[in-house]
Amino acid sequence: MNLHQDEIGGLDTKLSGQTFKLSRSFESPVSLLDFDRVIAVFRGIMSEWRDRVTTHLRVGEDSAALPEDVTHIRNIIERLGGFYELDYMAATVPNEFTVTADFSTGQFRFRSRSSELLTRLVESWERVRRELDISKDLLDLAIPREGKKFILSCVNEDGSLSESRGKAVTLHHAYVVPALKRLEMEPVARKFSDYLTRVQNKDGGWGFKPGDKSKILPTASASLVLMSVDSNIVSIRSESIKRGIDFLATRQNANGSWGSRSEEKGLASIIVVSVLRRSGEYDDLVTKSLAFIRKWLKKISLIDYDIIVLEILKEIDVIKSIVDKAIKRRYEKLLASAEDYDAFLRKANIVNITTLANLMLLSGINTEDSRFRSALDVLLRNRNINDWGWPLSQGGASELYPTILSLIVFKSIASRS
Amino acid sequence: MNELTQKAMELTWRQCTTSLHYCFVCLEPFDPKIAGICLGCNWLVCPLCGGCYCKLDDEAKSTVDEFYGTHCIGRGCPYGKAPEPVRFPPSPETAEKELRKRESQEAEALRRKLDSIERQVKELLRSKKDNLDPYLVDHGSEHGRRVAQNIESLERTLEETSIAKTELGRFLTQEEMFRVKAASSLHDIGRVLNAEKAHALKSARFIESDENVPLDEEQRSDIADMCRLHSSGSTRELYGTDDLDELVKRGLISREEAYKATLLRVGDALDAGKRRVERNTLGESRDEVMDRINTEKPSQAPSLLSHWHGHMGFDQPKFKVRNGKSALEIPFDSKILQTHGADVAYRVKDLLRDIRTTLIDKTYILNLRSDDLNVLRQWYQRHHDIFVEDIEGIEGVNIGG
Repeated sequence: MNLHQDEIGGLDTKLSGQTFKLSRSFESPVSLLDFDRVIAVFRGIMSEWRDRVTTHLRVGEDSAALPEDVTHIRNIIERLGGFYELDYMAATVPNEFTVTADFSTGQFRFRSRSSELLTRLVESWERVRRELDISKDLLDLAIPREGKKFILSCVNEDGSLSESRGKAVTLHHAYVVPALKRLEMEPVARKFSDYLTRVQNKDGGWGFKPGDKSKILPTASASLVLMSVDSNIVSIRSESIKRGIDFLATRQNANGSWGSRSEEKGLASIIVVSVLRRSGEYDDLVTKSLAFIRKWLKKISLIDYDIIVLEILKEIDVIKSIVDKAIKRRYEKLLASAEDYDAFLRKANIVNITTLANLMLLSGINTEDSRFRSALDVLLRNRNINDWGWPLSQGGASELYPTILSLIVFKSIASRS
Repeated sequence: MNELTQKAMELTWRQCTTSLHYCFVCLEPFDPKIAGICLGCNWLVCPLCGGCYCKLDDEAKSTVDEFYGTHCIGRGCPYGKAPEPVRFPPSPETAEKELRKRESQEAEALRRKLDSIERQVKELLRSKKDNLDPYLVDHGSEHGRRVAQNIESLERTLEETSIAKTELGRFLTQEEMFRVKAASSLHDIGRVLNAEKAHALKSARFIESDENVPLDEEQRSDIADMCRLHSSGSTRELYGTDDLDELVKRGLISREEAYKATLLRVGDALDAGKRRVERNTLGESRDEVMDRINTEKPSQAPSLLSHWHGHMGFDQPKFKVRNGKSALEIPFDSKILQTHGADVAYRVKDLLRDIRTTLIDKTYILNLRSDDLNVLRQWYQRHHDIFVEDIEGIEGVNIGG
């Protein structure tokens, strides 16, 4: 337990010579998913300090006291604006303690002038965390809401996106940006697209990193991002897209594919085809590439590719049925053996698991299906509670790419319900 | 001479009789009636690029002078319709007079527009009153008017404490102030559109789409953005955080947007005292609402009473300037502090929390005032833990009479 002396001493000593006794405080991460646990703590406080406790709840700009019967609290939150706008809940007993569950910053704060009382409050929080499950009914709302905070921490002033806070900017994840639109983060997507126009190379292409030599995959990805940002393409983006397309159109391989490294040819070709089809030009190049893509689709393990690419695949009408079949075949095979499936969940990285979950959703699985729930459980266990992001490998630090993909899983569940 | 300048002169010459002018700097056409006058050179300032005679190089200046001397003076230029030829360059007095005249005309036009918006808000509140929660504290046109007053006073404080200069690099123009005030009238309109939830986003959509609101496209878009950003909830929904400073640092909104949203968010938050609960949004008095709560006994009655009492604990909070620093002054009602101290402390917490998420300098001074100092001190001793994390980093708290 990390109890520390409050650091507001300097503030208090300024109060006209009067000395105020300092509080001690304890902080713990809290998520909206801890809502029922927080309520359990508040219920305990309200029951023990019945006559002296005062409570407060803020939703958006509105606020209210907690009802005596806390089972009504959900109704009050809904009346004031809903869980999406839930800001904080607090309880205080003057001269004894203050407890604040701040859902917007993700901090649960306990403050008291008595170490004994503080310890007791913190223990009650730790006990309910052990004994009570998370509020699963808030999953599809809490996770996208909180995940946005992590995405925001990866946005740099110039609009570029880092893989994680403070890390170097990369462009190869550009094709996940359409996902930002699904997460209703258009401002971030727009800003990123403006950034892309600024770091475009003179030959019309983009490298894996700003300033690197142009390559097919990042160029196709960046062009797709620019086309996805909005339907009314402003002139600067439009010009940038045109140059990107020119770069791609002149670099098709003889077999209809794009890209030089064998492992990227399939993915790169699909994104290029999607870009060219959206441009409404180059039908000949598209037709030639589709033959290559069909062959490639029959060979690949779809689990290695993320959901955004799958959605792009499905968007191309002529290959939609092949993709549907490949998705079905792939995940049925995986689910056929429970043993393999459990082993897969234990070992797989987060991108693989999000892909699996999204494959299931695309295949119309019931979200109550135990295999789907197991995949979700792995995702939930791997969410980092300090920054609400997901790591690439289980137990690692949060990164943008697995976080976006995980958020899409939960957003898709929300859209379904 | 610069090619652009040459081209601009040719175009101006051709268009002179229709009063359309072309900027010598950027070559874009503009209406001289809406252009300001540069007090340095007395020439019109291009409303698009801000260019004027001062921005030209010496060669271009001498060509422009020659062009003006040859073609314009005889036609009554620079304003095309002057009955007498205006001496070039106009005297500082003429320029100043012209500037004031235009400012005053613009102010009058904006005032009329603002009145029209306020009338429209009132009418909408009247026609949709069935959608309003009778227990809700005032979110109507009076609230909008007070928010506008708060914004005016806050803007003066930000100017005096140089925050406007450091954050914005300049002061707000008349037009920008009009937009912030229009936003103060319209920011809660979403609440009457059957929309307690996400009311700020609904207000923004209304402003963008309702053609009866007398605004041009640019004004609509700007005011709608302010409405989205005035609410912490809708800002979090759009960006993942409600902290305007962080959004500027991440390049997601401009400093201008953040500054205007700061005025609206803080102006709104400052309307948190007694006046906010003199009436509800329907115009019913506080006593009527209290009677209604006590008679109808809705399930959330204790919660509602706590909210109303919290507001009653202090008069209008204000930002003031003390020794060049901004100070937030809250005048408390000692009677309410004694009976509903915690409710008042939570209301103060919400006010301080709103301020924290804006561009307001976080090192302000918090001045707590009351007619009974002992009561105020006791209240602070008992309840300051409630809002202590929201005043971290401020320069100090003063408790006084």
